[in-house]
Amino acid sequence: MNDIVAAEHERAVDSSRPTAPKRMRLHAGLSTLADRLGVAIALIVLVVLFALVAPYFLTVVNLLDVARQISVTAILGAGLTFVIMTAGIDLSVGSAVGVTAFAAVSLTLDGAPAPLALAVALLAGFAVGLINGVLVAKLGLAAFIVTLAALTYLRGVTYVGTGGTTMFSTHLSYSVLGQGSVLGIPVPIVVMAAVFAIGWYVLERTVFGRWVHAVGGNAEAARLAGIPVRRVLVTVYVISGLCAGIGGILSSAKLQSAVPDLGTGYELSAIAAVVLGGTSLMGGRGSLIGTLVGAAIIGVLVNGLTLLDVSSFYQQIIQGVVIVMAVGLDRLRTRNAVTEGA
Amino acid sequence: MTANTSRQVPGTDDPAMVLRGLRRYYPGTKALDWHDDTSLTIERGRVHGLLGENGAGKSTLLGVIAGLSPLSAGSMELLGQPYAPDSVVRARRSGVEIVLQEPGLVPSLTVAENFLLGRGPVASRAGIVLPGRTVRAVGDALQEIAPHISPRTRAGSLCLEDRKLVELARAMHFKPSVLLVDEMSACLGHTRLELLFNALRRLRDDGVAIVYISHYLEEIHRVCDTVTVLKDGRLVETLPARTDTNTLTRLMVGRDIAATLYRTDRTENAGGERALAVDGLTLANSYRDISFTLRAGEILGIGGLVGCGSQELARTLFGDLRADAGSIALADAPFAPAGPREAIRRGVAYVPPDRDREGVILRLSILQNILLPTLRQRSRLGLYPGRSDTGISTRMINDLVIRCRGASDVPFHLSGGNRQKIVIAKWLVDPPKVLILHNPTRGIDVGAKSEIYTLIQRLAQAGTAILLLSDELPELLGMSDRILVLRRGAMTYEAHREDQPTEELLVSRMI
Repeated sequence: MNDIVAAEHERAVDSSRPTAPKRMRLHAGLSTLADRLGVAIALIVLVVLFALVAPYFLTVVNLLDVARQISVTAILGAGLTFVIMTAGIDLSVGSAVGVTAFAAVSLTLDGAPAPLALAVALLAGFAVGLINGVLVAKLGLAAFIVTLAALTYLRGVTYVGTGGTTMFSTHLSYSVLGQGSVLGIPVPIVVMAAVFAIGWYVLERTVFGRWVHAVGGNAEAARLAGIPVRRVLVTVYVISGLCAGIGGILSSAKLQSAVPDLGTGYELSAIAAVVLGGTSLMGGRGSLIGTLVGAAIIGVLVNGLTLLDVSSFYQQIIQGVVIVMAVGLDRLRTRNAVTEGA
Repeated sequence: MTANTSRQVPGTDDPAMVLRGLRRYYPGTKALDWHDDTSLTIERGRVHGLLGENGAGKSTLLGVIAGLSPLSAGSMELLGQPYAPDSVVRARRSGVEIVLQEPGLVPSLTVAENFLLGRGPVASRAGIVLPGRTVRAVGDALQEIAPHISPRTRAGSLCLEDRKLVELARAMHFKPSVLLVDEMSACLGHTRLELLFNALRRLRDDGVAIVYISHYLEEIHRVCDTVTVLKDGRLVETLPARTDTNTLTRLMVGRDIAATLYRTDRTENAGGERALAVDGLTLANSYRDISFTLRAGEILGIGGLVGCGSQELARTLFGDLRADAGSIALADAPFAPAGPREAIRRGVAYVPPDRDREGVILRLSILQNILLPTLRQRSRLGLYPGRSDTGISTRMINDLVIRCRGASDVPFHLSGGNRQKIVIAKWLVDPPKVLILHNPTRGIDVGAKSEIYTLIQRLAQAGTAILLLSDELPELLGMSDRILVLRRGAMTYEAHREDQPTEELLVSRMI
């Protein structure tokens, strides 16, 4: 009996020797492919499904509507992808949307020119990210706690600033950003595309982007390779804050107002989009394209279910289930990865 | 359980433990590898010492007995009964307690609360812990060994030494029939070591079987009755503890060295210009008064047992720790790096001992791993340099014979040897002046080992100054021009290649 165990161990030891069997490598290659396509396949299936049961679904007008609906969530998700890539989290993005929207609208109402109002909104987002990043990276506080606190106090700031009522402007100087369009494509979609294009370039084609991958993969090894780990961490939170600023501008432009509750819960949809897109909560692995697909899945789901007259109450249940499934998928993937390595 | 009953059945003559044919394999290493007919008997009322080099299998053996890791093969008997614990808790219930090398207390709990962890309540009624009585009982337990510690103290506020004593008191409190103690003296000062020894002697006199790991022969001589020497996961011999130092040392070492694996020349390369000079370097509780010069093209080995301070010394030279006193200089100028980044900029590179945790990023492509330290220098305006990179990484993969599908492969799928080559390769893109290697061949197969040794020689010949820290004596002896031996933070010996130092000689200066 013991000999059998020993023999099995011998074999296990042998199979981990330098040249891994071809089959194992092929398997690993296939699972990477499935990894990459996995969520895209889910999106395609959803689209086909809704196209079959709801004829209106697959019209240009409706699809543009879906894209516009998801634009803010997706932009928040883009920033969050950077943070989550480093095994961090930013729960404050929804409240940051609220506070930056308030900053932009109230300045405009006070007669500030649009560029100034927008710059201040972005600056506010930048500041929020900087505070989060410094607390996390330099003081070593848990990202979850730091950004949870930010979620609370930023909402408080918005309530105090707006006095708890909606600040409305009939002539919001930058409302074109929410309601206008370029060559027939609504501005928020254009902005979303730009954010993802720039974000992708930064993450995949710049030194900083490589550092984000490295820090998320193994912070200690990155540090010993001379990477300024803390600076990278601060920067990803700043990026997330900036994206929240853009989200705040777009949201307020669309509503022509600053609503005290604006952005509440956005962080959860955005995190769901990121995780659905295959970015690992453990850090090191992820992609912006995945996040876009993840956001699209959520958008298509909401839109399709609405077209099918599913009540918004049920929609919430379905969305919740989708989030659980997303995290479950992530867990399964990581577990597979661990067994592969053993 | 009541405080004063011992679990041992009086009148039976069975030894405390009999261990037979133990094997414990991990992927790539055989941490314990006894023959089927090898057996070890642990007698009651004795302190049984375990002696062996780093990696001889001492801690693995204790772990197996304590139920921390399962056996791959073999059998154990406890007081004449078959014994196969599947967890620490099970082992404890059978009367086997262990005090580990790593801190085993929860810092945020009090000493008394720590006594309760994973064990039955110390004092309870109907399943409810009685805090007052628990504190009293724990106080009594501490009285025997460390009367200066209060049960109400938070474990985290105790110094490391006292924490170890608390662990020991806890283990003793539950009246084990076998007590396993892993290397403690590294973290215990003189007075507390005396407390430990007294406690062990009392336990022994009560009939407890004690297994005690130590790196230091003087301790074996002082507290043990019997000593077993281990080497490369095998049992070598069991002898009376008073056996003389020379005999024990010889048993610990003396393996056949595959001579071809290492350098063949016996001449010492005195090296060229000074590459690194260390003068009176001291870091509290790690190393003290270290001075040496390393020249370009020279391979300087540093040997010593775990905890001898060599790891901290390496980290100081790489800018990751700051020395309390003393100075470092590179070829041209003084060197006081604020961090690894500055050290790298000044031409110092470091291959850390824990490859997977500190060296390689498993999910990042080989290409990215190799280019990581030099990305910024090769970038323009922060943009990722792109095409030329593939050339560099392909050259590295060919040069170092990294076996992979291509530069975009991730190290995760590669063997330890190939992972290690990636760690080394990343420092060769922009060749360093001083290369610090810590256990560069740990846990990798012989083929990759020999390739790494060839590479080290090649680098030295090209003028790189190499500092080689290693737990493997054959490696130190086989590769170094000179070897410095550290013992408890102090330099005890300098060996020269031309004098053909032996393993015995080095070991005798380490223990």
